[in-house]
Amino acid sequence: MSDEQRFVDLWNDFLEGELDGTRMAELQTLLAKDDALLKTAADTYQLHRLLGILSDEQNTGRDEFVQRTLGKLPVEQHAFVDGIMRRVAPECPRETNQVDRASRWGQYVVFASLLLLLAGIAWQQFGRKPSIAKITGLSGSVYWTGNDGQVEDDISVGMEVGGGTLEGAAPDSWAELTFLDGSKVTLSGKSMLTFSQQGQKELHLREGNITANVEPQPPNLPMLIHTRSAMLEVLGTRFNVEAELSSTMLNVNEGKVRIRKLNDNKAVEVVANHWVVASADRQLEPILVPDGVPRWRSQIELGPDGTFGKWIPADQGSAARLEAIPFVFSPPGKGNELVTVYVAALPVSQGERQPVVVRESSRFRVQGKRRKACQVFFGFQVNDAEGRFAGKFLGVLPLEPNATGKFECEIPLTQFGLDPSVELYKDQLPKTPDGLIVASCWCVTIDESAGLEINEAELIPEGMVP
Amino acid sequence: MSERNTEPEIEVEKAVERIRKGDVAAFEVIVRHFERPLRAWLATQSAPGVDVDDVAQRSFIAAYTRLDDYASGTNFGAWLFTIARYQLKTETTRIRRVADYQNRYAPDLLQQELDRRDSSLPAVQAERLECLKKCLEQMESRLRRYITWRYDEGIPLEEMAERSDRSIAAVKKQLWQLRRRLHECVESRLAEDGGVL
Repeated sequence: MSDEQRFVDLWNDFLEGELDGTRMAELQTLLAKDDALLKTAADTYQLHRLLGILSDEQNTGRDEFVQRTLGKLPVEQHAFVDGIMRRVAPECPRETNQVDRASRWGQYVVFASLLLLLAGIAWQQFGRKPSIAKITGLSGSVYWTGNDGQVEDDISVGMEVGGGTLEGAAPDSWAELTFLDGSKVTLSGKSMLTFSQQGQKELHLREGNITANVEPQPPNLPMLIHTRSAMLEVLGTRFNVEAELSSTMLNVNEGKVRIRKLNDNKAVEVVANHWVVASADRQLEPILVPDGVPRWRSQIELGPDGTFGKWIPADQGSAARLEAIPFVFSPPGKGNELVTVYVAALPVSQGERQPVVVRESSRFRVQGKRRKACQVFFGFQVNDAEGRFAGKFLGVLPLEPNATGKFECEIPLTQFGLDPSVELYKDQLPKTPDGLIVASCWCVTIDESAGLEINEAELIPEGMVP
Repeated sequence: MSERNTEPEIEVEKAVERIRKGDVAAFEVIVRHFERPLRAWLATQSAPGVDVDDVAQRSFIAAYTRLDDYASGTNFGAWLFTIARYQLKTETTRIRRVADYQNRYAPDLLQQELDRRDSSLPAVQAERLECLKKCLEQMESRLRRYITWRYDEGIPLEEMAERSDRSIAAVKKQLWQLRRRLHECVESRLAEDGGVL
């Protein structure tokens, strides 16, 4: 096969999103040695993207984009006051000959409220942004970007924040945000959440998972949660949301949440103990949350969805695997010191998978490979039945030196301890993971040349064999 | 304001003045005028994984909040595209921070080539979009259906193969040929119309 034919094959797969890491490297090589191929690649890529724009225009219309953009403009002071005045007007009739003391007091209260609101607006416009929430829990690598655009990685519990973006950079990242009204939103794993409060709370979950416990919101000002594929309206309830590139999964624990698919505007109310997936290619139908199962086995061969690491498909003689990739972070309280670890992580009870419940008598089995003898840590995160973060546990894989580098080992739950990164919260978190739901698990080494790869991980309940 | 300004450009300048006087609704004129060229330009300049609509919205909002920085009568479009260029750069940098992004989503060389093409006039991509629409209208329906399936309906290759009673490889090849053909059609139309290339 000529280079050109091979390029066509690879480039087609790239445009279809079907190119894996190995063939991506091959494509890079072909593009590097032939400028004409690179030009063809860029031409067809740009055409492919324009076809996407035409399709968007046909499906959603240009008006929708215009309206969504206008709806995001910052509220101006005068428009804001006008809105307030329209709301209070019915309670403050202007044409009265005899104003009684009570209504006069009512006017004073409204006037005082407006002064306070204006003072708040002036504070927002001329001073530092007032806080709308506080960071009340933190673990792993989490970045904060405020409205001034400055990215901060040295954030701490108790820090008050205005609108901005919280980003969990690693599979074990976790942050809890408490709004002034007591509503709590927890971000976990590789996630990105932008939030603001201008009249109503508005969250944009670009990717990842959040769990929310929302206090009752004013009926006309529900909390809004936007993802790439759906919009949720929340008046006060408990639920989890998981956003991927093209789908959103909502799991309601208490109350109800209204979810609307962006591609066709169809909406549905999801009630307690139900979940629904919003995506362009399926019906919006809530189903009962299935019961938890005690056993789980990774399926790395099915692809890299939800994983963290370099996914390598099966090839001759080797099963599909996940290679640990470097992750650089600054440990809390260590100033500017940077630490590099090598991580491969797998989702467990995420997406539409059944919740996996861990028992004290369970054990994990891990199969993989390392190029040299080194310590390999194994950790997992658990949530409670309502999806709230409930802790992280860490152990060391009992590996024996082996000439081939391949390993397969089991580690019982009793060998795990609380992950040091959540030590601060040990009094608030369950002492053991028994009965909790495993959200994700990961392997970590600090040895650069270890070449750690994971073929399979499994959670095995007592009395069962791998 | 320059005498060469076209009618839409004059409307945009008028809208800017209205916004400055407090008429927020006038910003709609600006969004309607620029959304198509801006989204088309962003789509062709950004790496896979970048949410074009999100970057476009952020560019409009940044333009709105920084409107005092714009010198009236210069070139609002150029000013807006400069903002968008920075917004896109920020987003691309953010995505690059994800460790395995390069391996999964984009060849470096493609991004370099797109950056090189960034010097062409942004409005050209809107012209390309219009030409593409016409080229698609001209295409025989038996061929156009592949584009409809792939882009409008987003159906997987397996289903396209079933619907057309062909192999997946043949469907891929067909899509490749159609993209090449559409590219040639667009470039030829642009050349005929005297478009800037």
